[in-house]
Amino acid sequence: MTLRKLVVCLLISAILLGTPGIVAASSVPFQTFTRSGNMFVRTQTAYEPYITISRIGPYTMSNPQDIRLGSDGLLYIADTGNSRILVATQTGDWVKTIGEGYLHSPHGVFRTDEGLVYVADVVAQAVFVFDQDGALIDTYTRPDHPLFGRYATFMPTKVVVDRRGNLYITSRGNTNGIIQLATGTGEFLGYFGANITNVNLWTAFRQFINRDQQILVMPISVTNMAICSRGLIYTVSRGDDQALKRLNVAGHDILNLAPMWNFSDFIAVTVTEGGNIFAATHNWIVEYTAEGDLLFLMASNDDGRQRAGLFRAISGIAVSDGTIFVLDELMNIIQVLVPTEFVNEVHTAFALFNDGLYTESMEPWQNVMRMNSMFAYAGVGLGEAHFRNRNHREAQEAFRRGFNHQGYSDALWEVRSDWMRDNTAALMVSGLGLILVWKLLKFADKRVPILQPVRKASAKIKGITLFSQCTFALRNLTNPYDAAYGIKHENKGSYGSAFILLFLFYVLYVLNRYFSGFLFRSAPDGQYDLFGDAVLILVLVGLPIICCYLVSAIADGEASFKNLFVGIIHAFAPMFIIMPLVIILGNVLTLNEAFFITFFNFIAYTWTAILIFMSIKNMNDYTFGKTFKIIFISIFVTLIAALLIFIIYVLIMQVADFSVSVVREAVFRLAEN
Amino acid sequence: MLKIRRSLLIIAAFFAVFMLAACSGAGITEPPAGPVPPYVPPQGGQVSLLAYTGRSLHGHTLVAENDNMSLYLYAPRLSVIIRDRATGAYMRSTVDEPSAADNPLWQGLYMSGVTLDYILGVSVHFSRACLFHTAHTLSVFYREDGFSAQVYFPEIQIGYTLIVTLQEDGFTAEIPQASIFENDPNITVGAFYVFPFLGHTYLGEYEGYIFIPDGQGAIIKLQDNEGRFNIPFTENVFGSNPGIDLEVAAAVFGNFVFTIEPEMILMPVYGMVHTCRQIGFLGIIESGYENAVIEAFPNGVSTNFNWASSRFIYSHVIHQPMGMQSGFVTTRTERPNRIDLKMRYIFVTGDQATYTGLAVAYREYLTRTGAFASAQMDAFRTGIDFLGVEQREWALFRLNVEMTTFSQAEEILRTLADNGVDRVFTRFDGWTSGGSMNHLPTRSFNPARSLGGQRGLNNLKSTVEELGGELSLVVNPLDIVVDTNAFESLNAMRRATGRTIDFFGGSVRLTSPPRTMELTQRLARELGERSFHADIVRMPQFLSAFSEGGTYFCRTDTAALFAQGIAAFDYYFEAPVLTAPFAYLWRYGRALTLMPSTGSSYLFTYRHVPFLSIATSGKIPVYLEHVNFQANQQRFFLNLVETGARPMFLITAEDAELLRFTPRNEIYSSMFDLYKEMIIQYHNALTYLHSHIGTAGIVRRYVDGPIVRIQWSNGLWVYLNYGRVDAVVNGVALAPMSYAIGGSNG
Repeated sequence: MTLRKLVVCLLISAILLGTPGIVAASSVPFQTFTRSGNMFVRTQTAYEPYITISRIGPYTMSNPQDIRLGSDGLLYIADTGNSRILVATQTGDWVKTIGEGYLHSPHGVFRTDEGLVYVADVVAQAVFVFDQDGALIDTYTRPDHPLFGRYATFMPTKVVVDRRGNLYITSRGNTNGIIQLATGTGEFLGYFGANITNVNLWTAFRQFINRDQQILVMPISVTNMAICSRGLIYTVSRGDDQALKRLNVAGHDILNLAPMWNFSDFIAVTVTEGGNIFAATHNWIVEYTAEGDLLFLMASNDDGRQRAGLFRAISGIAVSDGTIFVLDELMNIIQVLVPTEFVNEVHTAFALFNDGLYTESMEPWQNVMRMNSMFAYAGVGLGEAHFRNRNHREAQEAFRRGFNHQGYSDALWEVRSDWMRDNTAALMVSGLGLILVWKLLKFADKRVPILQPVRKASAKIKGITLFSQCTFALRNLTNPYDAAYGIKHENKGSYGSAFILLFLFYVLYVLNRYFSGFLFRSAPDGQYDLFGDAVLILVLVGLPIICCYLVSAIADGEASFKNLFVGIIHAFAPMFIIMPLVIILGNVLTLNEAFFITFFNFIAYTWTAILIFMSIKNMNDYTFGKTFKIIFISIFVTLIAALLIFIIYVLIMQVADFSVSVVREAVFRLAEN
Repeated sequence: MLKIRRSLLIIAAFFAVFMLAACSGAGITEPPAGPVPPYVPPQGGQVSLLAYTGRSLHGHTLVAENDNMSLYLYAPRLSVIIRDRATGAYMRSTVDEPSAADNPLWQGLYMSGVTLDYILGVSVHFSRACLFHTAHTLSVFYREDGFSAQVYFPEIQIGYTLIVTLQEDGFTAEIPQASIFENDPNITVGAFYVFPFLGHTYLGEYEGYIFIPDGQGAIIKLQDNEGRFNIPFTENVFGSNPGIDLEVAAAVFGNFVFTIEPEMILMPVYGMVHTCRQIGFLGIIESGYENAVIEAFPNGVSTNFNWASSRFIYSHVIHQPMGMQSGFVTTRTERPNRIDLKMRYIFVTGDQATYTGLAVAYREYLTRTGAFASAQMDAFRTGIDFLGVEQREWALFRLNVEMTTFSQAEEILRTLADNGVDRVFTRFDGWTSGGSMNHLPTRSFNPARSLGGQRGLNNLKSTVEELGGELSLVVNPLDIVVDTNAFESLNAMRRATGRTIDFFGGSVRLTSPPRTMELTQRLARELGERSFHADIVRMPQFLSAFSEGGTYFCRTDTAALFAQGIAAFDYYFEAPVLTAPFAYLWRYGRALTLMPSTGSSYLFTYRHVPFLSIATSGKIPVYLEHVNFQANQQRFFLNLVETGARPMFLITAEDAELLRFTPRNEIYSSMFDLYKEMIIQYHNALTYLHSHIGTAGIVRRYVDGPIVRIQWSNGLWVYLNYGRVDAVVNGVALAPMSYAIGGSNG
């Protein structure tokens, strides 16, 4: 997901806000968002600007490209434009300068626990190693190993070192992956964690139509990386949809962030002792939990007013005890953000939760929930705690609030079990009672026709032509040949019945989409678009029928348009039987029984498809083979028709836009005069 | 009319004297002045108090004096020096020698007492006429308490009259609009700077700070920035002007939509303090604030000087669209903004030469000028802001989401009263049918039936009064939600270009100021007849130029209309509560709600200061922004303790989760059950504190790292520890993030 998409997504949220709210903001110049289900919601400020470091002692920075926190608590800054490494305290006091005279364009810096400082220099095409006093003790240059690649570049941009002393180096223009070198010898150990090429449909299409201009599909180089205390490498690759990765020893991504929560604009990453991941784009900072859940999204672009907390181009990020140090390569400053009381409470709760201390985490989660009732993670935390304490109803409600489907499902299972246990006897008695009442009624009816009015009413309804035409659709379920014959020759179907059935299908579609339970509804919470659904149904059903008719009309088909339209709509009969069942089940089943929903849906759709096929065949009196052929041609024609409609729509909209502009302008001029 | 007549008389008198002077061949009338010494910046921290040589100071001649202050003038450049007679400390308004490194525009600004920017044709850029580079004629006339100067620039055929009057605590400077004349129709006055470099310093020559009215207030330290900053503080007084500023509307939809806009300037003031010389001044824009900008330039931004000033905008260059889609021509607003420019400079000296001293001086000024005339400064109250009903989209129609019914609100207030929280200051938002956001503007008294209707609201009012509190209904006569109020959008406010002012893609517009005034007066009558108080939102914190029927109206016109509308509440019943209002409306408010607690965090600011709270302390009840949404609630509580401001809780009976799909989904925490204990704690602690404070105001504030000491005018000291470790202040032990009342011995 690119930041542009995110901005659009958030803009929609902003539009939902309506008028400018009167909830006053704090002094922090950016909004903080958190994930809540599949949307972002505003939350309290997580980190707020504390100080801005614009000078390191007597030194100003120039185009700084990297910042790392050493185990000695000092900041190591690659002052790229000044060809040096500045070492500073966390308040910006200068400690020492490293690499002057050796470095040309240091882009990456890393300090080991032993105090060695590794510097990746793009221009020098080397990684330099300095000791604690700043003396150069080693230099790693381009490996001459044949597997490194004859044309592979060695222009180090970032470097990290694991506990064994092996170096992981990213190189500008080298798309083979992270270069892994052995300590001391500099022996090339291989490439690690390469990005894979991503050929999507659009790229394939461009390749198809641009044969002369070859469109290269190259994997993206790793942009930045970090290493955690467990030795796992975290990478970000700008331009990759799966930008943020956590690599295992085999170089495979084990974070597997959903694309929606992974931003292709990431350029910097760091990991805390607790495992939380901080990644940054040029202007935004995102905090993930150790499990990869998006916790906070914050900061924003500098709007030219130079306010603390806004950035022009972040190039590096480091975190110490919750304090974030953000390096800005254009403003040549380090902005320090400190955690608020709110985020401290969130981290406390998470720490207890991740240690399995669910009950102990309840209090901090409740504090978090008090401060933000829409904080989904608090819902999950409280849900787990309630679940462990066997408060299943509370757990269900909390999981619902946390948009946690699995937790909700587990809680629902327990709630349902409890309910069944408490009510089975009553249910059975009620069922038996109903059967008994029915038998008694029937028995009594034989003696005195007390059900006669009901029968009369039923007969009257059945006598209504439209009603009988609608119920005739059920004939499809048992004998599609009879159904087709009846519609074609016995007038047992009409436009009226077809439209009623189409409307019924629409109603079932809407109920299934919006009201089939938290676990199985397909529409996002709180979003309703009945008009859009109606248009969708009309287009998806109407256009193929028209195209099918047009195709069959020139392919010796016998069916009139009415026959085809009514026949196909009547073929939806399985939906009318099965979908209500699916909707009801959706409200009572858990994810463990999702198979039933899938199964019934499969039956409904397959059966309907077969009946549509049979209807087209019987109405036109085609063979099986010809019916297949006609259907495929119809699908193709439908696609072409959709394209044409789209083009015409665009043209009409432009004309309409122009007309509206002219009218508005005229009205405006009149109003002005 | 009287003012115009008086101005015309003054001009006529000046013109007569000017003609006499011209006839006698004297282009400049001034007392003899000594040679101007070259400007030599003193070394860092050096205090220069003793350059006084009787009637002349730095080449400036004494022109007026009273018991406290002396006013010196260097007439050729209308440069003044103001000197405190008791301490000998003084401040200068111009620089002696221009720096070759600065371009003529900047040289003109800092070498002239008054600088005029003019618009040539329809150029989008202003040109500058000053008393240093630009040919001019000047006549100066002396009075016992100051002087007047008539300036004329023959080349651009523009003239004006400056009137400077010495006051007991400083001086005032005026340029009456009637005194400005433009003889060339192609050249018009764009803007005026009056004594922009008053109190300026060079790099880090003096210790001190610039005070800017950013939210609560902020200070910019006077130190050598070594070129770290390249952006000045430049903000419109009273917020943006969407009727003119196209870019403001664009910013809502630009790439940075989620950047929080900087705090608006609520008070038309700025200041400069030289702490090492123990002198400072507060610049108050007494007239013309509607069209003023406050600028503060730390050194390194354009020049090496630190300076702050107001700038008065007389004409705007606008981009007149030629069609709906694209194309525009640049043009000027058809007539100048109405500005009778008047600046008041109040000087503080000795130990009052701090931002606290400036705030105290401002408080006294506001009191003197009647800004708190409607205020009802009562004993401490806790603020409860109820949200009634909102609406959300549902499958077939909009669904009401009842967050707090009137009876639930009663129940909540009774529960609080049972726990000692009585006399609550209650706001009720979303009390009308359709909710707080969906059916704007508020046009009539129409309580939502789903909340309990009129009877329920009356019952709530009775309960509030029975418990000693007061209830205000939130009304918003300004915003139009087009979807639900398309008819009202026909009255939408239009820009100077004639286009409507749209927000959120046109889904929200604004009622035109005349219509806003009409609605406000109608609401005042309807609520007043039923004895309900009102809390007016949005309108008090919005000010824009507009056009109607092709005629341009400036912000002065809008301000007059808004003031007229809001004044109607007092006429029909009692003064309303105002939400985060601009200072020009404070005189109409009984209390101020949702006031900012900090500032905008500019990189060049040294820290935020509670100027606004100090300036209003003891004079008008001030409720800060909602406690709910503070990420640092302990720190926020200490802020309340420190400033004497009152807390406001946004409360609903139902869980805020229900608001997720409503237009008010920015409210993510509000349920009463979650806040009950906190309200009780806040109320008990703050009631005790305020029982000591009474109606006193803050007179001193000292900051020493995380320790803050506050002295109130009744002698009470309050100590606060914002740090993470224990501290002892004057023998009083303070735990981390705590406070103590220190008695009357500081």
